[in-house]
This record gives sequence, structure tokens and C-alpha cells, in this order.
Amino acid sequence: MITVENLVKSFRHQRVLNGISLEQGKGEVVVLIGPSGCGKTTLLRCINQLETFDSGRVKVGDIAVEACRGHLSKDDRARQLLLRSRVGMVFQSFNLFPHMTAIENIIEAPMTVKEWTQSQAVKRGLDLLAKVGLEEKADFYPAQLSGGQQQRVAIARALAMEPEVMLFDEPTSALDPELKEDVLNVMRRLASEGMTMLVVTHEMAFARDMADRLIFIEAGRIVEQGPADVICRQPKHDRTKEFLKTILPRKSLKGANGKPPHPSQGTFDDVWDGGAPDGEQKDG
Amino acid sequence: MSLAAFALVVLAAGSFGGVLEEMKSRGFLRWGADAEGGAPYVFPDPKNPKLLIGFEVEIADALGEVLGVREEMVQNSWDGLVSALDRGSFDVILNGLEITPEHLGQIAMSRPYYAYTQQIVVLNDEEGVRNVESLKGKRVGVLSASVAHRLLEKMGGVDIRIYPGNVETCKDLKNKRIDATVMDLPIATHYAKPDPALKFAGKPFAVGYYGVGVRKGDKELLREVDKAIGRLIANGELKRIYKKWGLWDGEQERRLREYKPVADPGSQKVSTLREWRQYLPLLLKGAVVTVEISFMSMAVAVGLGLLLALGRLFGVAPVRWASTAYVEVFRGTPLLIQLYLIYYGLPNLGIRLSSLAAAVLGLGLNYAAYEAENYRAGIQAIPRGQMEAALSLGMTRWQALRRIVLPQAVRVVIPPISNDFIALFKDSSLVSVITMVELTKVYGMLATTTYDYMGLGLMTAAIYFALSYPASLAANYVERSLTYDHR
Repeated sequence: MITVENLVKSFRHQRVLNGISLEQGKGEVVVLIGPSGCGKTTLLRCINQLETFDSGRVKVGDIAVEACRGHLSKDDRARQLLLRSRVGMVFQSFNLFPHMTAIENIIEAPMTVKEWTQSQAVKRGLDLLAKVGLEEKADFYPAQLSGGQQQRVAIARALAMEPEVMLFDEPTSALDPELKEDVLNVMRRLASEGMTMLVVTHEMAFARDMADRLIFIEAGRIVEQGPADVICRQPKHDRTKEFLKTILPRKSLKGANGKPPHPSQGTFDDVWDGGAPDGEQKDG
Repeated sequence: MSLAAFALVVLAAGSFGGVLEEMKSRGFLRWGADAEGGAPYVFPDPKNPKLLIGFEVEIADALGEVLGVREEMVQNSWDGLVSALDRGSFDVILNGLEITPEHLGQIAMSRPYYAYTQQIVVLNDEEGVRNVESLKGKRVGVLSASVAHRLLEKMGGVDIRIYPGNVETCKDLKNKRIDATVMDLPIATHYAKPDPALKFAGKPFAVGYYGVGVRKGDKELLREVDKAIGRLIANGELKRIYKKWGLWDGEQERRLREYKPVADPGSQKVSTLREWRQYLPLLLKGAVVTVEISFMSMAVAVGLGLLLALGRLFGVAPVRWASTAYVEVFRGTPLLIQLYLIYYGLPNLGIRLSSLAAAVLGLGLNYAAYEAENYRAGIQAIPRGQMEAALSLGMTRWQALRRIVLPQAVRVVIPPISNDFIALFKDSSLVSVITMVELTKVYGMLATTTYDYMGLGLMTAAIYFALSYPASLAANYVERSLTYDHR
């Protein structure tokens, strides 16, 4: 469904993506992790054409986009629009349109891009709001909603375009912990319904439960990838091990006697299972 | 008694008797005049613009010689010479100031040093104008507040166009925006006679006299000036000067000798506040023009400004450069110059706009530069994420702008734009230089005839405020009604 071939992208003199290749099948859920500045967000933005790239190729479904610098031809633009309308994107900062109510946010793109009638769009929009558990908030403005509610509206807005692929760029990292779960539950449900999802997140419980594949990226390269369980329990690379230590300190921080344990203490298993917010028991 | 009159009395009392001595000890006769468009009276020498020349410069010099002092010219706009004399900006006015009951109501005037007549000037091929009566129904340009202006107003039936100077009337005559112009003969002699495209129509008419203006309290100075002028007539000095400037005709000497002083009519000061019923309608008529011009030019500014801002933010390189250049040039040059260029300059390129069109275009083009910057700031104040979210939903850049970014930006730019609207509303007074008679111009014209700058000024200011305050209330209302982050 998504093919990324040898993607290279630089901002000024800083190389952010250093030849990334990725193949994602239909219905597959892939989680990208990596230290900040590693290029995972840029990768999503390149796939969605919010960034141009220097070389390589991106393909979503049957629409392929080549590297391009400078002016886009009419053909390129049309392809870009088509690609974007098939790819939904959820942003870290929600980016809801503040001058529109929740339902107006959702029906805007179907009406302007797909030229749906208003009644058609509203009907579908209300269904989507119900799906994310917010049908009673249809006429609320974003400023009247909590962060978690805003992000769920944003997901419904992306779904309204009936995308084939959903990209999530740290969808819960701007949220208070108690609000994350509602958003993650919506994402879980989407994944279980077979949506093709590429997710940048630090929510390891979500990754463990839902990801078919976990990819660790550092310095613009894929360091290691595989089933989430395998990567977390037996990371091959030292860089992956170190990163996983930094990302999953929650149980460890609450260690005995209130003392933060030395990073060398505890196994990955501890960290891994401690990362589950719902306190599930160790499996196996 | 109005405040202005009170101030006048205090000033006059304070300066009583002392001016002549003060002038002699200073060694200078300070005379007020306007050198702008002032040929052949007082004007910068075209060969050496630092040097002022003109027949009045030579008269001042000759007067000073008789009085035993040197002369020093003080620049002041012609409209404001009388009130500036009252304020004590200079000792005398020597600048084609006509001896009229209006002036004598305000200041004292010497015996005449020149007998002027009015002259009609038309285009070379104009045959229909033979005398002042035949001007009825024609468009006639006059200098604001001049004798010609009052004569034609009194006669009635003439489409009078008011200009800031006589250079402009001659220019617009050639631009065919007016059919004729009437001016004092010396001006006609200097500006129109040498111009092959123009000719004098009919004989000079309406004899009047230029005198030296002196404050009413300065009786001693007035006597000295009268004596000095008598001396210059007798010894042929004036004749020599007028001959040099081509202003001498056989009648001049006879007229100067036969002059009978006009009786001092006493103070003619009008309290316009007490008789507001008479003046308010005139001011309101001007206010209508002000409002018309403001709304039309703001529409131009807001529309063009948006295009410029979009061009600057999202255009391809040449569009971006052009928009940026436009903003910088129109912001970086004075509105007054732009108005002059559009109205008096463009006809050189064959573009002749009516004064209303030129006013709307001038103000609109100028303010478009400011509105473009307001829009640009407003659009840039909208977080990038808004555009990106819209693009990621498959919208085109234009759809995203129109549906997502601009509606939010509009709310941001309403306060600065309404601020600019109020500024434009007041700046619209500048269009009087291109013959639009709007509120400030009406005020100026009434004030120079009634001398009640205070009463009329208060009325005029009140009208401006009464119009601009509701505009800012309306802007507040719109801004509030567009608020969407209500909680």
C-alpha cells in the first residue's frame, strides 16, 4: 500500500532522511519510533507531500511521486492532490480549524474537494463523530473541547475523506495522560477494522498491542525493524536498546523506595510490561 | 466674542506701538509671503532656486531702503497669511493681498502699491468666451479664496473648480478639464502669456488694489509704509520695477494716484458658532464628499491590498517581486506627491482622470500598500498547521487559503484595517489639491472668508468625529461577532 524507496531529504545542510526504504502492506499497522530529530515525522510529511524530498520515490496505492525540486508541473500537482486525498494525516497539535464547529471541520474537505452535498457530508460526518464517541459535540467549537476530544475530531476529519492510509504524527504527545486513552482507543478500533496505519508514537502499549511491525529510526536511517514484541524484548542493536531505555522509564521511575533505578538495572521485559498503562500482567 | 477674537485683541494690545522701533533695532523688515506658485510676485529663481526673485521682492527691498532697514521674507501659505500676521509671525504682508472689506475687517492695509485687474485665460482655439458673462455654464478654474473665486461665486451660474495654485489651473486648462481660468493680470502675464497654447480672452476687468497688510494696532508702522509707497510712486521706482516685470500699462499710475481708500468697515468677524445654521449645511455638503471618497478608496485599498498580499506570500517569483516593490514604493512616497502625479502628471501620458477618479485611485493605491501589509501579517499570524491540515485533506492551496486561512486572517486584520480606514478618512482632506471640495476644503474656504478658524474648526472637527467614531464602533462590533473562541 505504501512504498518508500531510498528517500533522501535535507534541510539546508542537515540531512534528515538518509536513504529510507519501506514497504507497507494493505491493512498493516506500522509504528515508527526513534529519538527526536531522527526523521520519523519528516518521513510522514514526505509521504503526504507536505515536504518535498531530494531523491527517492514515494508510492501510495498506484500513485507514485518522484523527488522534485522547485516548480511543480500541472501533472505533478494533480498527482499530489490525488495522493493527499487518499492519505489521512493526524497531527500532534490537532490543527483543527478554530473558526468551524466540529461537524464543520469534518464536512469541509468532502464538500470542497469531493463536492459532496451538505446533507450527504453531514450525515457521514455525524456517523464519524459517533465512531469517535463525540456525536453530542457536533456543534462545539474546537476551543470548547478538551485536547483529547479535539484529536478525536481531527481523526474523524481525516476519515471523512475516506483515506486508504492513515498517518499519525505523535497523536497523543500533546495530551495529558488521562486524555490519551480515548484517542488511543479510537486508533485501536481503526486498526482492528483493517485500516492501513503508519504511526509515530511513544505509546509502547499501543505498539505492543496493535503494531504488526515496529521500526526504529535514527539519524535518518532505519536501524532495525520487526514484530514489536521481538524488537522490544530482543533488540539487536545497542542504539535500539539505549533508546528503549529512555522511552520507557515509567515503572522504573516509580521504583522501590522512590529512588530512580540506574538504567542498567531491570530488564527490557520489566520496562516493556511496565509501559502498559492498563496494568496488564506479563504475558508468557 | 469668540476665543480667536479675544486672542487677537490681546495680541494687538501687546504689540501696540512697539513694532516700528523693534523692526528698526532689528534691522529687518520681515514680510510674509508665499513663494509656492508665487511668480511673478515672489518665487525661487529658476536659475538659482536658493534665491527668491519677483516684483514684490524688489518692492520689499525698495520699501526697506526708504524705511532704513533690510528685508527678510517669511514663507507662509497664502491662505494663512492674515492669521499668521495676527499671530505675529512677521511685521507685514506683502503678497498680492487685495484691499477688500473682508481683509480690512481683519487687519489694516496700506495705500495700494499695485492696481490689478482680472484676466480670463482660455485655450487658443476657444472662441466662445469674450467677457465674464460668457463664462456662465462653463467650467472655470480659480485659485482658492482668490478675488476671481469670489467674483464668479457672486455672479453665479459658473461651474467653479478650485485649485491650490495658478500653475495647476493653466495645466488643467490644457488638459481640457476646465474651459477657462480667471486670474489676476500679473499672474496671467507671467504664466499664460508666454504659453502659445493659451490666450487672453476679453479685456481685463474688475480693478482692485494690492496693499501691504499691517496689524490693526501698528498705526505708526502703517503710516510709515504709506509714506514709503507714496515715495516709490513719486520717484518712479515702482514704475521701473513694473516695467521690468512686464506689468506696466498706461493705466497703472493713474489708478494708483486716484485710489480712494475704502472705509474701514470695523470688525467684520463673524461668529460662525452662533450662526451655525448658515455654515453647517455647507460643511455637511463637504462631509458627504469626504465620506464618498473614503468609502470608494477604501474599497480599492482592501481589494487590491489582498491581491498584493497573496502575490507577495504565494506568488511565483516575478509576482512576488512586483508586489513587494509596489508596497515599498507606495508606502515610501508621500500621498500628496502620488495625487499630484495621478491628476496633473498622468495627462502627460494621455491619461486624463476626473478629479473624483484621481482622488479615489490615489488614496486607494496608496492605502492598498498598507492593507497588503496588514493582510500579510494577518495571514502569517495563522499557524502553519492550519494550511498543512487543509492540504493534507486534499484541498488545493487556493481552497485552503479561501476556506481556512483567510477567514481566520480576516478577524486578525479587522482592527488594523479599521484603524487605517479612520486614518484614510482624515487623509482624504489631501485630495483638495486636485480640486475636490471636501470637508477640510470647505472649512478652509469658509475660514478664510469669516476668519473664524476656531468656531468653524470646532464644527468641522465635530463632523469628522461624528463620522469616524461610529466607524470604529462598527469595527468593534464586527470583530466581536467574528469571535469563535467563545468558551
